[in-house]
Amino acid sequence: MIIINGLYYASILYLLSLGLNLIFGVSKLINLTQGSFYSLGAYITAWFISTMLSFYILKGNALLISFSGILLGVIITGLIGLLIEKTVIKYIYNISLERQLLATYGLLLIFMDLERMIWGGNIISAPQPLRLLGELSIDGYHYSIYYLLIIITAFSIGIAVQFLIYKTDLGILFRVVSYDREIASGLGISVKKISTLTFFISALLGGLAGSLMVPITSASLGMELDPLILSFMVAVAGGLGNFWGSLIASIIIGETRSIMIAIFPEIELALIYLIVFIILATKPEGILERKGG
Amino acid sequence: MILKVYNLKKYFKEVRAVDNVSFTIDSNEVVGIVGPNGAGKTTLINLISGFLLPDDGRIEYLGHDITYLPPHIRLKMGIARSFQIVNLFERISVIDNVIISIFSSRGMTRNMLKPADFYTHVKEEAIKILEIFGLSHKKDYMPDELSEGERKLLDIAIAYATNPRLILMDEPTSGVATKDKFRIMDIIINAIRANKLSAVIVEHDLDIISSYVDSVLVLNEGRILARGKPNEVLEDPLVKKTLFGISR
Amino acid sequence: MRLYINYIYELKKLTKILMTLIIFIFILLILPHILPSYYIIFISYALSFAIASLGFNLLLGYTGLLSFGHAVFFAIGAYSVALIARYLPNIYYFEIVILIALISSALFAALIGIIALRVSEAYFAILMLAVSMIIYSLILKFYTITRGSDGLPVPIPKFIGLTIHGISQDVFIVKYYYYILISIFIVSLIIMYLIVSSPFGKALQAIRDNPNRAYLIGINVKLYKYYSFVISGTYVGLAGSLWSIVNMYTSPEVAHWSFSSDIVYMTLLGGYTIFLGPVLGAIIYTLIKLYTVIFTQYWLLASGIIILIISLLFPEGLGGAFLRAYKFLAPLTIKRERKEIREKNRRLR
Repeated sequence: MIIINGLYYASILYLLSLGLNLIFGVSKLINLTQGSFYSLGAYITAWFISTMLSFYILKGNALLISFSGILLGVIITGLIGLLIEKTVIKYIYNISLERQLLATYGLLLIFMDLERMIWGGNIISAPQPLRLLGELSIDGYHYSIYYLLIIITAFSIGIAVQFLIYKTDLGILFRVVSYDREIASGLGISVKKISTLTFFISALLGGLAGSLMVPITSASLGMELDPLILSFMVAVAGGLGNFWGSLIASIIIGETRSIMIAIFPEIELALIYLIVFIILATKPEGILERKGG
Repeated sequence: MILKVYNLKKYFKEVRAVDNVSFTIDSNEVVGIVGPNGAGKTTLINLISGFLLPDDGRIEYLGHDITYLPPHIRLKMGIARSFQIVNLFERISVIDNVIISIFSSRGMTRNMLKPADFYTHVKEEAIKILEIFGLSHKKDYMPDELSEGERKLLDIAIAYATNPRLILMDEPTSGVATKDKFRIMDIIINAIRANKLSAVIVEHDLDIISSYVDSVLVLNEGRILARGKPNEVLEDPLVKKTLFGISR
Repeated sequence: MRLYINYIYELKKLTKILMTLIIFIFILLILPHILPSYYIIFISYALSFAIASLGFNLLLGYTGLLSFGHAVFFAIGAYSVALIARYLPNIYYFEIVILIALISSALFAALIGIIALRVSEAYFAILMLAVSMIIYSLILKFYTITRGSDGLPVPIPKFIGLTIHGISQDVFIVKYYYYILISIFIVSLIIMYLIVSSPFGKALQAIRDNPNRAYLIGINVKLYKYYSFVISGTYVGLAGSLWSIVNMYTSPEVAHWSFSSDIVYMTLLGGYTIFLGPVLGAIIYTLIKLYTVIFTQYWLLASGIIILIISLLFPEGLGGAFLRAYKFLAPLTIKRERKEIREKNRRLR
């Protein structure tokens, strides 16, 4: 069970890091606001599910509501991402690193308080998707189906994105822009549109991570901080822009976290940061560099 | 004999960027390196300055083997370089760009408590250098207030201020309006001759090369095609065929 | 002859700065006689934050390194004082605790710096965040020593060579501590000014603007970043220790990322591209934090907006706005010409 726990968390981290990798690869932007997409997706989904299911009439369609909730969370988050890309983010692409970090950090803070404004300081729970799907019993071990769903979803999305980037014409456009924006625009590619699209996809991924996670953890203020930092570590450890690296890194980090929580439940708070610290301290260039040689 | 290059090789997978290059440079000599795009000119500069390490071959500078030495050691020994794409310190003034170069190359940056402006002799030297490069009247400007040509000169001035014996310049007039190219080269060559430096200049424009350098090295596909005095080399039919279409 | 003239010119400039400084100190000194005591306490808070933001800006504004966890040094400074007060009351003298706080923050910075500066800039920012949150959790965890989230009280310290009897903490601050703060602040200010104007300071700026070129003209980039980091950590640690005495209390919050965020915020508010910007920012920050309790409800929103706007559009912050107004008196034609050249060049690029 510990393994599965690690895997589903790894899946969430993978989705987030995918978003980070995409936007860094294409637009060279370090996007801390990805954390906001996570919490927005979570809040919207949780709010929708808990509100809808409080209506007696709809209780029969719990499963449908649940998945609509997740879908809604993803879509609305994506749209919000689109909105801020067109209004704010486009100015952040070409500034220095510290200013990028500061600006996206500013956005992170803004969204944190906007969430507080809209949904208050209370925790919003929506455990229905988790509960309704039940468990699978194999050899006397019980596996939560919802966890498996998360893992499968993340894996499929990972493959879908890989397919998009490497096997489609659109993917070629992405890759050209990521190699050299000037050349790309010289070739007639609308760098603006590609950047916007990339950011939109990133936001969708972030929102998906949050929406999928919320039945397990509920929506609360500041929930995005730990996943953001860890997914950042995943992206870093795997090598920024490296999809396979992120996959391996997310599994390693997810499992480590899961194991450590099982063994040392008391230090969970500092745990995340300890993992981060150890990774950065020992492998500043990234895990995959050593493995791949 | 200030620089000797023996059988230098640098490959990037199958691409032979520098393929068995050997040549020497004398003191006070200004050598121009020309060749079509991708001939390996910038790679050669990178190898000499220490940005890249070769796959094979040797580089000797003033009798020392510097082949695998890091850039900052080569700097201490007297090799400086400037860049094709201008590489300045954008948020400090023009004169500060030169001053910091002087401070750091003389090991003076350890001082944390005496205001830089009180080092009058350093400031004097910086102003002199700016005068050589025609920038002294804009010494308190910020780099983004200079014209492109002036920015290139500042880039070279920063390298020059480290008091090198060999200066490597990668396309010093690229991006500069044609009418200004000669003026800029006048200034650069003046500066070089004034301090009796040796120089390697990578250039695309053959008119520039023929007017200013002592000898020319023609590179193509990583190999030396010809080497000698400008008027001889540039009249060579093989050379002309290779370089056809670059200039004129 | 030219050297001599240049020297005189520099001396004149320095004298002007010195005069302004003296006037400023003078104003600070008479304030207790004009203003009621709660203003003085407010200024005391502002001065300690100003030392923090000054130190932070050495790293951000002058070396170009952003850290999301500098609060950790503040916490080390504050808790050094509080822990000594609680467990070693015999040596709880102001001079001693401040020294210990300075050394602790410097040591911690020296240790962490070795690891933190191995990574590239984006990861550095996050690494510092991780470090500060680890310390935060440790403070919470070791409840028996630190009293966890309850925090620790910070009583009036004894002084070597001076005895103060039975006065309330408020009176202590207004009558004595305020002046100590001013002196320490002025000294920190002068030292920081010397550092940033020195050749070392110029090297840091070169590192900020173009680390590759800085390396290529012979600057030991890694080592200097390290020095900058240690100095900045020490400053913030000093600020924390001084603050704890004004606040009479310290709690784990000062290690939390939200306080690091506040340090970033106050530095940016005043302008991180100007020397005195952070000081101004600290003053305004203290004002906002202490006086507009109603608005602190959406503190993250407010600071987030400011951070966003300033980092995008106005790196010179409010300090820059003041400078502009001041320079407005300068000859307008030269400035306009240079501004036009800058715009033209920007468009060409």
